[in-house]
Amino acid sequence: MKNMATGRKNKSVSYARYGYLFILPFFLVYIVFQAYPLINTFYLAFQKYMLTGAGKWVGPKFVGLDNFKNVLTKGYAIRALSNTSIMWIINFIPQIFLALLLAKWFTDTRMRIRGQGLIKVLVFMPNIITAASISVLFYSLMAYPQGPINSLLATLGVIDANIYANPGTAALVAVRFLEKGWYTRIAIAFINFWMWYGNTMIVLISGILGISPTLYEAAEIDGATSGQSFRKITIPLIKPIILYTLVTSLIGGMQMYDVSALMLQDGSPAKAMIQTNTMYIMELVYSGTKDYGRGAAVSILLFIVTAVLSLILFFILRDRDENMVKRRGQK
Amino acid sequence: MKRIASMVLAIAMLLTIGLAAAEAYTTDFDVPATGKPLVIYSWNDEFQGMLKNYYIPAVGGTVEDDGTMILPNGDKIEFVINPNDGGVYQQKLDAALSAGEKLDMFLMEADYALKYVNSDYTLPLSEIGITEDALKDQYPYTVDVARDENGAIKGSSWQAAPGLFLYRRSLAEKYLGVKTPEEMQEKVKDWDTFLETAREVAKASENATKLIPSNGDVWQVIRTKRESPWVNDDLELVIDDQVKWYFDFAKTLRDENLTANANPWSEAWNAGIGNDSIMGYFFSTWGIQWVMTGNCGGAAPGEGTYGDWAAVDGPQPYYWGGTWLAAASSCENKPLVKDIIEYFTIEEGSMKDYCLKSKDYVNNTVAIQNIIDAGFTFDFLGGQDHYSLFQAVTPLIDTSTMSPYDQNINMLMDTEVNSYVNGDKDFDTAIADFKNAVVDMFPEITAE
Repeated sequence: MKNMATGRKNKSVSYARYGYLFILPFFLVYIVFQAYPLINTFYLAFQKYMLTGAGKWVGPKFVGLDNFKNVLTKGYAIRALSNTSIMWIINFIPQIFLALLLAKWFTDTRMRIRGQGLIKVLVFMPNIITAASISVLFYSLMAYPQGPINSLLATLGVIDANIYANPGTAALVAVRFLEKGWYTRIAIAFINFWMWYGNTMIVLISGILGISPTLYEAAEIDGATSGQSFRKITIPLIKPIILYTLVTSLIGGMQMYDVSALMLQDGSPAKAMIQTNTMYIMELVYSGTKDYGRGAAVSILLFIVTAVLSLILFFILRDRDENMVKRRGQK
Repeated sequence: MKRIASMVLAIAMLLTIGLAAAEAYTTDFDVPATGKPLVIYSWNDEFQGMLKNYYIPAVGGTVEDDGTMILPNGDKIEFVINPNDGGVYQQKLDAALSAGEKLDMFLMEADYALKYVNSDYTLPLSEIGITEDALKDQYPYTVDVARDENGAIKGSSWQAAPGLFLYRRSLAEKYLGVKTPEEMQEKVKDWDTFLETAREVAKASENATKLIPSNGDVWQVIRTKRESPWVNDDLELVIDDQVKWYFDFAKTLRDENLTANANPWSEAWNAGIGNDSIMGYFFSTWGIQWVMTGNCGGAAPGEGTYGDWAAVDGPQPYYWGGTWLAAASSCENKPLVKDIIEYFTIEEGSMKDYCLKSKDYVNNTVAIQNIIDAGFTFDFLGGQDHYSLFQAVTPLIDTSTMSPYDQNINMLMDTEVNSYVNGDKDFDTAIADFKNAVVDMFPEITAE
C-alpha cells in the first residue's frame, strides 16, 4: 500500500535530474579536455616557463606580455601566419569555385547529369582517406632524384634522362621538389583543395536544394537563362551556406598541420615557406627548449587572428535585407 | 629403413642442440620478482634485440612467439620505441619523464646524452649499486661522457664508437685501381686527397658510382674536429671554422656532383650499401654490424656486397654516436637494471660473447684485447681485422665538442647547408638565418 502511494507521488516528480546525469559525461570530458587546457593556455602565455635544451626547468614566473612581445617581434610566428594564410588562400579560391560549379551542375534540373550518385561519391572520396596517407603519397611522388614526377619529366625529355648527370652538362636535371618552397606549398594547397572540394560541394548542394523550386520555375517562365538564375537566385540565397563553408574552412585552414608537417623533409630549406602556425607551436613546445610560454602565446595569437577574421567575414557577408527589415520594424 | 633414417636425424638434431647449448653463454640470475614489467625507452629495436638474443637466453628467461620477454622470475620486459628522426624520441621521452610515467630505463645517444646526464631524470649508477671502479675496463671517454657536473656517473655504454671509412673493394679496384686497404688509405688520407678521389670515382664511373652518399656523411666526421661545442659554458652559440669549411666542402660536392645525393638514413642511403651507386661510407662500430650487414643484400661472402668491403682510417679520426644505458629516476626495479647494465657494459665474459657474435665493438678494453690476440677476422670485410683499427682510433676520440644541443642544432644547420648548396642563400645569410633559428629554438642561448 505504502509503495503504491509513493509510486503515485513520484509521478509528479520532475525527471530533470536524470537529464543532468545523462549530460554529465559531456561536461566532465569538456572540462578535462577542453576548458582546462584552454584556461591553462591563457595562464601559460603570461609565464616564463620552459625546460631548457640542457634539461633544466625555468619558471613558471609571471612575465606579463613579454611572450607576446617576443613572438611578435622575433621568431617565426608572423612568417608562419603568412605561410598558413597563403597556403589556405591558394587552396580555398579554386575549391569554392569548383564546388560551386559542380553544385550548380548537379542541381540544375535542365542538365540532368547521369550517374550523379557515383560522381558525388568519387568527388567526395579523397575526404575519406586520411590526410597523412595523401601527404606521404605526394611526398614520394616528389622525391629526388628518382621520384615518379622526376622520372616522368625524364621520360618526356623535359629533364636529362640520366638522373646522375652533372648539373653543368645537362640542360635540366632532376628537381629537388621537396627543397623548393613554392613547389611544396602548391602541393600542400593542392592536397587540401583536393581533399575538401567534395565536402564543400555536398554542403553547397544541400543549400541549393533548400531553395524553393518555384523560384526557378518562375524565373524560367520569365525567360531567365540558367546562368542568370544561378547568379540572381542561387548565389544570394545560399550566402549563409557559403559563409559557413568559408568560416569553417578558415578555422580549419588556420590550424593546418598534418599535410605540411608530413611534406617537410628533414633539413629541407622549404621549411621557411611551409611551416604553419601549429607546426611552429609544436616546435616551440616539443623540440629543443620546451618553451611553454611562447608556445601558448603563439596559440593565443592564432586564436585571435582566427576570431577576428571570422568576425570580419560575418560582417561582410551578413544578411543585409534581414537587418533592414529589423531596423524598419524598430522604426 | 625409415626408422633408421629418423633415428639418425633425431641424433643429428640432438647433437646440434647440444653443440649450440655448449656455445651459448649463461649467467646466474638472482633478481627478485617485482610483479611489474620493466619499461625501457629506445629509438630502435637494436637493444630490444640484444636483450632477446643475448640477455634473456643467458639468464634462462623465455621469449614468447609474440616477442614478449619473460625473465626467470616471471617479470616481463617492455619496450617503448620512438624513432630518432625529427627528434621524436626526445619529445616522447621528455613527455614521459616529466609526466612521471612508468619508465625504468632509457637509452641515450651521443647527440643528446649530456642533456639527460645533467638532468634529474637519470639516477647516478652508484644508486643502483654500480661503483666507478666497476667501469675500469671501459674506454675512459665513454665514462666521461656520462659524468654529470657533480662528477656522478649517470650512464654506461656497451660500445665504443670510433669511426672508420668503409669502401667497396671491387669498385675501388675498378675505378681507382686500388688493390689493398693500404693503397686506399693513401687515396683518402686527408680531405683534399679525399675530394680528388671523389672526382676520380665520379669521372671513371661516368657518375654511376660516387665515393660518398651525401655531404651529411662528411659532417658526421668533421664535426668531431671542431674546437668548441655548439654552445659554450656561457651559453653562447659558437660557429667554429670547421663549419665554414664544411659549408664550402658541401658546396663543392654539390656543384661538381660528387655525391649520390642520398642523405643519411634515407632509403637510397641504406640501399646504396647493397648496390653499386655508392663506393664508401663513414661508419663507426655499430654502423658495420647494425646498418651495413643488414643492407648489404647477403649474409655470407659472395652474397650481395657481403665480403666486398674493407675498412681504412680515412681522412681523420672521429667517433659517431654511441649509446648509453641510463636508469630513470622513476626506476622501480634497480636490481634488474643493474643486472642488465652489468651484463652488457661491465662483465668481460658476456661482453666478449656479445662482441664475437654480433661484431659490435664492445666497451671493454680487456675483452677487445683478448679477441684481437686470439686472431680476429671478419668475413664481411673480406677477412680484415677491423677491431685493431678501431682499437687504434679509440684513444684519439675527443668528446669535448659534445653538447646536449647537438641533435637539434645539427638539424637546423642542415637546413641552412641545403639552402647554401642549392644556391638560394650566400654563406653570410645562411649563417645569420642559422643563428636566428638556434636562438628561436633555444631562447637561453645567445648568438653574437
